[in-house]
Amino acid sequence: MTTTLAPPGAPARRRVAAARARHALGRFLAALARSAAIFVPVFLVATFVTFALRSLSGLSPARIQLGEDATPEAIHRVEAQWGLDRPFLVQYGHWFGDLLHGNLGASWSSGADISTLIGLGLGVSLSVASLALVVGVAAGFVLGTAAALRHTTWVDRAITGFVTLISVMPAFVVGIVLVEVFAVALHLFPSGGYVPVAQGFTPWLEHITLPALALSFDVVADVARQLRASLVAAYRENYVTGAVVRGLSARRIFFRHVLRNGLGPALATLGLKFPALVGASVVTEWVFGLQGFGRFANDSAQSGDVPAVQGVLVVSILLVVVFNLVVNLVLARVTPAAQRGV
Amino acid sequence: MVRRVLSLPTGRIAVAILTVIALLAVLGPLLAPRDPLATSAHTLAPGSGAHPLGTDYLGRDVLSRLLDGSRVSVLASLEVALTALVVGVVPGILSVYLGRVFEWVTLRVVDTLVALPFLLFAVAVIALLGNGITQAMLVTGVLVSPLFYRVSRAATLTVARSQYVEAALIAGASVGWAVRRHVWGKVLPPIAVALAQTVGVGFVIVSSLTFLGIGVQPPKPTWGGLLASDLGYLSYQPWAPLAPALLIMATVWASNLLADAIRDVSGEAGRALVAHRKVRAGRRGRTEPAPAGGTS
Amino acid sequence: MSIPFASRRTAADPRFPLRPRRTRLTAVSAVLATAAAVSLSACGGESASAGGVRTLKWATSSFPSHWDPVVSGSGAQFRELALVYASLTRTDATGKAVPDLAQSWHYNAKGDQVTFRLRPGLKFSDGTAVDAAAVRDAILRAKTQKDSALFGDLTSIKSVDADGLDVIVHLTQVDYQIPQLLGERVLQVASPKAAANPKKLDQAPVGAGPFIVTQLVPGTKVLLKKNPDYWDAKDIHIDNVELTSAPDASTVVSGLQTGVYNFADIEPSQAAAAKKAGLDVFVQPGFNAENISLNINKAPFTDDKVVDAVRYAINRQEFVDKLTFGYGSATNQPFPKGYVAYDPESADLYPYDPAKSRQLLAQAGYKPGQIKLSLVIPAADPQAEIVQSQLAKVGITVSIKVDKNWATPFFAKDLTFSLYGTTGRDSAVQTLTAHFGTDGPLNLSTPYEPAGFEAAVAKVRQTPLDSPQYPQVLRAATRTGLQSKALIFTYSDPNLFAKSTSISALPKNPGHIDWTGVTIGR
Repeated sequence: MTTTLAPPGAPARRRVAAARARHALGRFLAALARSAAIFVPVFLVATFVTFALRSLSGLSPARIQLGEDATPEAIHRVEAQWGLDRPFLVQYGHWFGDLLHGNLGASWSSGADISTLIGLGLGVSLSVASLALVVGVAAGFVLGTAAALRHTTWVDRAITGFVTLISVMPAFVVGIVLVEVFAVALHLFPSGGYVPVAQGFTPWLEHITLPALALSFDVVADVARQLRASLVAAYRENYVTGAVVRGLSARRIFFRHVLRNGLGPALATLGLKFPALVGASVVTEWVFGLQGFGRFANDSAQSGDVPAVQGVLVVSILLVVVFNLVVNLVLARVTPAAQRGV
Repeated sequence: MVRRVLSLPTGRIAVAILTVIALLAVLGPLLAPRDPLATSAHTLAPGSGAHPLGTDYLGRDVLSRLLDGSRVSVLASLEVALTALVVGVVPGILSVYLGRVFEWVTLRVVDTLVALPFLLFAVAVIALLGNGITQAMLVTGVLVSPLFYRVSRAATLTVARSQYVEAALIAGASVGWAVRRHVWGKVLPPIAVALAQTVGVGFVIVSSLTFLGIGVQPPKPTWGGLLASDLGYLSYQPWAPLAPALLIMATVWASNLLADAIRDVSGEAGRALVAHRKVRAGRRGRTEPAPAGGTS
Repeated sequence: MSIPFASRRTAADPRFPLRPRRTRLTAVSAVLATAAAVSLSACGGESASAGGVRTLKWATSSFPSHWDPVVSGSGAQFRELALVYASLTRTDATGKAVPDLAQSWHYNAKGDQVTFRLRPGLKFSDGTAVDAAAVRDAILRAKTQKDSALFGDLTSIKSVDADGLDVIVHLTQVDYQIPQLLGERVLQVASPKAAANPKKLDQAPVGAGPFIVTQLVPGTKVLLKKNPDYWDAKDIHIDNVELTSAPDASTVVSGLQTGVYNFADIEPSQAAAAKKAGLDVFVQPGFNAENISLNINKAPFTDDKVVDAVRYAINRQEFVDKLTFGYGSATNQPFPKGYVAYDPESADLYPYDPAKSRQLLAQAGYKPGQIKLSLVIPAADPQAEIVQSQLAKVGITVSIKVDKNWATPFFAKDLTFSLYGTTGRDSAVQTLTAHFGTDGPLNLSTPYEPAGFEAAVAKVRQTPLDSPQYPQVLRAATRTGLQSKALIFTYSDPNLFAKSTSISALPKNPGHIDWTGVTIGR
């Protein structure tokens, strides 16, 4: 007599499904907690270093407001006004407390609230950076996949050559070339400036396309290279041979096996690229005349406006940390094996 | 390893370009036909016998300025690479041997450094700590060091867990001896790759900073600075930005090419590759052997 | 053959339903396609008169860092402040003072008291009335506020009385320059209510000018809309203004070309590119003059021989040839040739003579290369590089230092050696006193003043503007002022602007940018 496993009944199935859902939620929360646990100390240390820069710099608002040879009494008076005569740790405590409430202090040069100033610039920079990421991932994905699928043919070599070329062009060189070709010569896009989305989706898109393109080249190159390498490596794995033997179509093999495993390193690269993107925006905003976050950082740094620079650095750290969190979570979904330490 | 790298055509190209650039940095100011700071009345002149690349907006010889500017860029990128190397490799190797606490602390520090956007920090540091490229490059080196940390740590981990090292340690060898004898050889190739890559990164950063006018005071020429001022006179000299841009791009490309070449020839796969190429080259040189005559 | 279980969620396993990769990919590509379709098919108006709204998009290289006119001073940024503020007088095409907020004025017989009658019924944009009390407060604030950049220009004003709409200005001496003086550069009148808090006024200007500020991002951008209560509102045909800090000289022209801006000041090196791009390039008449400022209270300029050595080392023609692209001219006075105050007799005071310069330095006891100077400037400037190379030829080593906060030490007279460029003044006397006077804001060597200067200037003040002796007396004052060891004037750079062809021509008021009568669009 043969015994066969009876298929589970409907109520049993529901219970199993519920258990699975709880399990998945638990895993998600665990991943979230783990990522947070890593990034909290990162944030603390990074903000401390940022704050310590002021003491190292020896700059003070008195220099901006009074001139280089202001009398010691005048300097002391101005510094007291700004609370700079208190002990270092007390100042740090105050600053950090304010930080947690979203208050980044006041600018030494204009007296305006730094959170507001940064907020005004962030809209511009984040629009450009997001579009740059989307374009970079999409284009990098297409190029990397094409190169891997047509591995060792002329397609692969052409794509690799192209990717190498764009990876050595610094963002500002790309930006200048784009302006000269697409804006000035071909009149397809404006050469700079920014229009908020509220004033129209099309103008907004027109204005951020060229700067986003300039920033995206680096991302395209890295994503394409990583994806190609990991796809090529994944294709060599045993399970792919097994799948081919089992008679699965090439498309199925690609989308359901190879890609899943190959995507991991490419996504991880994105996390590393984001800080570079934030940094490169300093130059692209200069070339395209955008009044964004990077431009504000550059201007504040050049005028020695320390609280503004500190605010900028804190916000950029926050951006990078949040972005890495998101990438880690996506990675956890896409390649759970990585989370298990395999 | 150097010979192996040179056996690849990509390796040869990369080393050739980088050597030229390095020579420019060392000898450039001496090779310059004219004083890079000497102004003249012929402004914005096109290329000619006296001025092969023409003159700039103050009548200075462009070629001389390019040659003079190579020193700043090359020195700065070397600073970044070497700082990153020193700051990253030593903790990376030691993190395997000095216990869990040290390992955890260094891993967290590295995570922090990776989160900091280096161009932004470089700009901030230059502005706050003094307008000199050196400080900015030191800071950038520290911020880029995680790459070296991770690379050397990974390489050390694979070696440290191999049996012959364990055997040596059991037999009484000190950690230092084990590191010097076994780990170093295994760790060098990935570090060399990272070094080549970081030189390229350093170049881009230096060009970006000098493009923004930060770090070097006028009228000292730099490649990024030349590019920036060329933009102001595009209608008079449309091809002027090409020279500094191509120099920057060629150097970055050569560094990346060198990194790839080193990666290709290192490790088991690398040795196999080089041997394979040698055999293929040898076979091509000889004529086809005569077919074996007759069968018996 | 067994399949290793390394693969993930194969379709064959019903316990782990597949989440298809494809849907995520298609979702992303769908979003991109929609975005592309929308952007290509939708019509987007870039023209400045879209929907009938006439917008001036002005990119300026002198974006004000202070919007309090008393702190901002008489420099070039007054043109941007003039969008928000009005003053007692303005100038016409000949440079003469004509009514603005004041509808008329008259002097007493002696000439030491002038009464301005204001236009009736005017209000500031916060509702406060524009009356004599408001003007009196503005003048007093300019004289007494601690960080005022203007107090050195108002030395003739003793006190001010307010009587309804009459502003009675009592002078310390006979001075006929006052109507010229109290124009847009010196007396932009802020609302007294807002001016009660000058720090707030600095970032939230309130005036009675042609436009009202709707949003101000410090140092970067300001949005304005037309002020319907402006006394001359009927002649203003612009609805909105977007004033932006120009990013970089080379990107301004492409910004103009592609419609990001429709009006900008440009460098002479960009003129050719702008013309080729089909833009309207024009020179707004003015009295610009660049100078090298010395602080003779600091070494090495305490030694007269060194000062003279620097004077002889300057080759003005090189500046003109290399920096002005045919638009400028050499000058050794605070204004270009042809201005009423220009003194032809002083045209060749210190001709270019590097040999003599080296001789003087040797006589002063300095070996070549011994003097090291730091030239502090606000932004990288080819002018500084030329000065550096010219002084290097006579053995003075100059190192250029770019400091974005240059304005503070310069106006605090802390620098030893710097550059400055003036866009002139409405009152010729103000130009002279600003540069040569004891407390002149542009006199880096305060309190130094050439002998006889006060007297010469007083004489000019006492001469009515329409008197036939006026030009002579004025030039005599210039001659005296040029003895100053604190300033070496080099060349005159014109006010070069580029605008979109959709903007009509601007009134040719020298040194000013007026929007009266200017239209945008067809």
